[in-house]
Amino acid sequence: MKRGGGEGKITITRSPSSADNGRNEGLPAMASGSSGKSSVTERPTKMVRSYVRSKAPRLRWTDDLHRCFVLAVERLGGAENAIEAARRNGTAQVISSLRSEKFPAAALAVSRRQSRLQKLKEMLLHQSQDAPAAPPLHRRPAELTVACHDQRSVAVHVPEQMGKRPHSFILFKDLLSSCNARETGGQKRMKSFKWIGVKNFQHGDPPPPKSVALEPVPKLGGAMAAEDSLTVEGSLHSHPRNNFSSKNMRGVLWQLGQSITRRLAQADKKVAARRCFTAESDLKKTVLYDFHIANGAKMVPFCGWSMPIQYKDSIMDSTVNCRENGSLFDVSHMCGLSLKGKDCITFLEKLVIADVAGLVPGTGTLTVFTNEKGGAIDDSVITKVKDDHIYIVVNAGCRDKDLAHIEEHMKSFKAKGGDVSWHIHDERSLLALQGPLAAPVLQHSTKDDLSKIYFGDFRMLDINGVPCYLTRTGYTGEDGFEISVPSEHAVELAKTILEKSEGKVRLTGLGARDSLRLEAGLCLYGNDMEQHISPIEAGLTWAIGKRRRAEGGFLGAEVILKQIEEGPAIRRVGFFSSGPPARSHSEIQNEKGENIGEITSGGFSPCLKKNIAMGYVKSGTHKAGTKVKIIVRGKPYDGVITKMPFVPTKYYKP
Amino acid sequence: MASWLWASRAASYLRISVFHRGFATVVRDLRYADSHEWVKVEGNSATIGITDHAQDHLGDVVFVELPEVGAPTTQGSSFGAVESVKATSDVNSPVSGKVIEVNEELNSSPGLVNASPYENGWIIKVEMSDAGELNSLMDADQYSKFCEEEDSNH
Repeated sequence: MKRGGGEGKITITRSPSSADNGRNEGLPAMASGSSGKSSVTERPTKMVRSYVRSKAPRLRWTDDLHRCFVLAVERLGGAENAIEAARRNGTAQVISSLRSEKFPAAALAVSRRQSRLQKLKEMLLHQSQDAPAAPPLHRRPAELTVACHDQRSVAVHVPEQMGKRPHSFILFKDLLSSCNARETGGQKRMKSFKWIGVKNFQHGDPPPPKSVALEPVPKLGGAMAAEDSLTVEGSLHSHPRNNFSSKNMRGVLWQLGQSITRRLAQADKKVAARRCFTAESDLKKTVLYDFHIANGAKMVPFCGWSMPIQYKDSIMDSTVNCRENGSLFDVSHMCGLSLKGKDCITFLEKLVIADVAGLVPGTGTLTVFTNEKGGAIDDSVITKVKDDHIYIVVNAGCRDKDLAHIEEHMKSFKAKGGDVSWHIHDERSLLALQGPLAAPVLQHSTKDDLSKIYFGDFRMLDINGVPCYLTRTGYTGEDGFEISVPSEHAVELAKTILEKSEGKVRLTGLGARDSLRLEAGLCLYGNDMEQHISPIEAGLTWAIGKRRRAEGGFLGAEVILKQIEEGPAIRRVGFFSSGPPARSHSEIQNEKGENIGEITSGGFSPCLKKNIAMGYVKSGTHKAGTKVKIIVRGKPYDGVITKMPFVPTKYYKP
Repeated sequence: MASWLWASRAASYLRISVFHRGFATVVRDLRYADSHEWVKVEGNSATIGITDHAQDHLGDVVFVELPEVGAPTTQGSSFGAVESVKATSDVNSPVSGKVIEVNEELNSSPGLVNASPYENGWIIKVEMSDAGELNSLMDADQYSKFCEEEDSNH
């Protein structure tokens, strides 16, 4: 049984000796090599490699994108040169030159991190040698065998030195015809090119259709005739190595494109899963790390931190317990910061959609940091402590991005004479206490009357004798608090809370946190909200204050205000579905089978005992009650659009 | 200590071997694949499911994708999937053959895989085409050891 993809995160094994590590997103795989021996009979690997699906939206290498890519490459001097350049200077060079060729901007958020596929691509570029390319840091290099089944198709096998069992193949058709279409200047959809699919034993991707009937290819000088269907098989081939003919080159070009895609798609740092390179010691630890371990936590890497995904109870039990009793989460990986100065409100209002000036001191709200295009850089809770002090909490995965963004704007603001400064609260830790027992339990530890603190309120008060920042907010839909405590007192506070609850409030991990927020219909940045999605599309129009709708004055205001007026093109909605839980990137179709959108988060609801999901659909198709089909692993399942939250929220309001 | 002795005696009577850590159980007369499936052979038919170790790692199973009756299976290749709250996993067949029965109960109670991975949580029954394939599978002791090594690598 192979570990597959999902919303939660699973520990990634780290044995450097096995090349089997790491990300599997369409990893072109490993087949055992020219020995021709079936690897199923070999001794199994010692590791279980977990598949961890990326939270970043996959950049789909569509035909259109491929055409642009080929054209851009051709403008740069052709496939051979591009591959040569990539080999010599690395992909970054190729990426930057592609950028100059106006390769779609969406595809060009470059990450600095080297991916495993990046390494693989380099290996591919080293083509047919036995001698592996410069081995990547943590794994043995793969061998490359390129084989031509026939004149029309190329299979790229990337066998591993330790290949144990048949893995996947990427089978793709000759690119020549799609390139030819380009040359003839055709804007027509080239159907000749189809990526049959990857059958990767390591993850739960949709198994490719057993046989794919491709549409006949229009004859273009030298291009192929109608393809036969190709099936993906798990068997191994042994082919004589070929020199790179021009066809192979183009095949490799495709591969190059794919690898670049994946490298680019890593821009979102929230994808902790990819940190398969991060050694255990490189992960940051919160002050409660040892406390977690002592309580039986399963730790996983998340956004560069080692965080508990669950404890001794199951994720389902944890989730249900939160709503029945209460949960204590360690969310110290999130980034808290304070903006100070008499102009801090004016400064912040440029960056967020909230009516900060209109906030009553001691209250806060959910808001969105926007970019010039009206998309979301991050969602965050901001609190006005006083007129010259704003307390902000942003997502762990977006920390670097957000801080860089704020810093950049702060520089120019100060240069114009504005008075603002910041302090990043790395000396504090954040605990989230959620559930019906949160207030009664916390009341034991503080003299202040918690019944006077309502949802969204902020106080600085003593808890357990220690000055803390208390916000009545959370990410679960339940009543609860987020407590910012000086790190040296965090463990003590956690212990006190758990003791005072007599075991009813349990330590809860990120797995349950994800289930809870999904049931509450809350967005997860990186899944349900992204750089290219506006707050209006995400259903957060309410977060834009009246005054701000009238005045604008935040980044991307023109786009956003227009969307408010005209309505957005897509909207975020909730779904119930049958069959397997819908996961991120599952396609949504209407009853006629036309594509109307995509799922961005989904899972099984422990409280409702049914599948829930959220996603974006075209406006017009978004009414609650609309029947849809959701494609999971290649098969359609019935779904229906529903309002969110799925589980009613219990915010403490006056 | 006494209870441990009692437990191991009971265990050997029931032909279950218990890890010294007392975690996942491994049943004696079954054969195991390195991808954590077990096979119970009765004549020419093989019952297949996932092991206790696997269901423990997966978490609560919420959905099981079953193959069609009559579908062919190949040793090492996937015939279905098991989905939990946090992940989806392919289930591979440890033997080649043809599916003769699937456990329909799992459609309504996927939790059987967690509760009873070796008994009620069986997934498919296969008519084997090549009994020799069983030799390439692990027996209970080898599998226990395999799991321990895996866990220690985590």
